Parts: sequence; structure tokens; C-alpha cells
Amino acid sequence: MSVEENKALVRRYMEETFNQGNLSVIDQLASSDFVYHHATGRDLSKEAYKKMSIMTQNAFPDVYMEIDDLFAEGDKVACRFTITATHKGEYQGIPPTGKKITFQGINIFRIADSKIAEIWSRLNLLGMMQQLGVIPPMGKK
Amino acid sequence: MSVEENKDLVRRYFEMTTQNMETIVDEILDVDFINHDFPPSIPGLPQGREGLKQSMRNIIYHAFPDTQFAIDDLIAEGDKVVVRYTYWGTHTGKFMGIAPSGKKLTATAIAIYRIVDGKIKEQWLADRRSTPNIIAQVRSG
Repeated sequence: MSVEENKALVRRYMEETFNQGNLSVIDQLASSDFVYHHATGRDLSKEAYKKMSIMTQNAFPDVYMEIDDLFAEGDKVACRFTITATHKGEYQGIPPTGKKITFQGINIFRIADSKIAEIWSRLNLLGMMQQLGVIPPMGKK
Repeated sequence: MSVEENKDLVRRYFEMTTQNMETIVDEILDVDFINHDFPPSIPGLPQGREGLKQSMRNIIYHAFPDTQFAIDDLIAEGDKVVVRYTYWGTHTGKFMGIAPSGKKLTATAIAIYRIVDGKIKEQWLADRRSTPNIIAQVRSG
């Protein structure tokens, strides 16, 4: 696949999973041996990643993702994005706060045989935790 | 500049150590370098190149003087380079109010750089390291 086709695949994946809430696209677009390298350091299989996505969707049902930058080389695609969402369901043990949060992330995708084989994801977790009120902003006790 | 020259510039940037940090920053970062702030900045730090030097010198190298970086993946297109990297250091100085533990800490991150006229002009950073993660590592048995 060309670099342009890889970028289109990633764009579609990001749009459909985040903004359409269409997690069935994971089955279509991710390879059978898909690995998701989570921002916290855990590696998730396709099934574990789908479960995590459902839990995240329940916690943040109105999520909106905007792609800020997308570029690619060889079999890899980089995607920088901004997410806004309202914390309406339990998330990692934190009961719903009703707070609207916004944070940025960068994903790197590896494409193989026209499918997404791996994602490495890094997020601004600290900013998110601060917005949820779990962690005080820096400089304050 | 070519994509290969951009990648070489970023490789050089990641040769940063406590000994060469100020030299590397002045050599590689544009004088009008913009650090797109995620995670959120420490209050009181200037923006740009000076703030980066101060945070590296006074916070990172103060607490972890042997900090080093290793590039795990490097992808470039046009004027952009994305780096997925690992960094580690030994906690021998006070960090975020925590006395030196002597522990070696490791973290990973993804950064995007925009290169203009042979210099890094902009940086976007998504870092799995967050204060609670580091504190947890430092305090763990």
C-alpha cells in the first residue's frame, strides 16, 4: 500500500472508532495479530483493545476527536489528535465527575497487508487527571 | 532539507546528555522554538528554548543527572519527524519534592518535531511519564 493509502486507512480508523463510535471497524481494519501499546505501558491484544474501547466509550459517550496532524513514511503513520469528552461513566475507578476534558495524543500506526497491525499510543494523561480533579495542577499542593 | 537530513537532525538532538544539553539545544533548536505544551508546563518557566533548557537543567538533570535517550522508531514526511523513544535515569537528586531514592527509572514517549531551515522549530510531546507514575515508581518497594 502507498503512503497515501496508509494515511487514508488511519484517518478512517480514527474517525470511525472515536467520532462514529463504530468499534466494529476494529474487526475490519485491524489485523488478527493486532497489538495495541497502551499509553500506560500495557500491551493489548485485539480482543482486550476492543473491551477497553467499549469501557472508554461508556465513560466518555460524547467523545469528539479531531486530527491535528497526519503524516507517514514506509509502513508507519503518525497521527496527532485532540480529544474532548465529558466524563459521564466510571473510568479507571474514578466515578463520573460530569467534567468536560480535553487532551492531546499522538498515535503511531504500523500497517501490514492493508491492515493496522500495531498502534503505539501516548496521551497527555497528566493533563487529563488534573482536569478530572484527581491530581492537583503543578505548583499547587 | 531532505527527509533524511531532518531525521539526522533529530538523531543528533537525542544525543543529549547533562554534559552537552545547552550546546545541543542552541545548535538544534530554532531561536524562536515553540514548545507545544503537553504535558502542562511548570509555572514560572519561560516559553521556548530558554524554558526547555531550564526545565531540563533544574528539574530533569538535577534529579536524574545520568538521563539518556534511545530512539525506538523514527518516521518522517515533509517538514515533520515523529520519534518514539525510551529514556532512563537514576534518581539521585530531589524530584517533585521527593528525596533521592537511588532508583533507576525508565519511561517512554512520542514527540513530533517540525523542522525549518535545518532547525527544530516546533515540538509536540506526548509522554506516558506523569507525576503520579514517577512517584509510584519511586515509592514502590
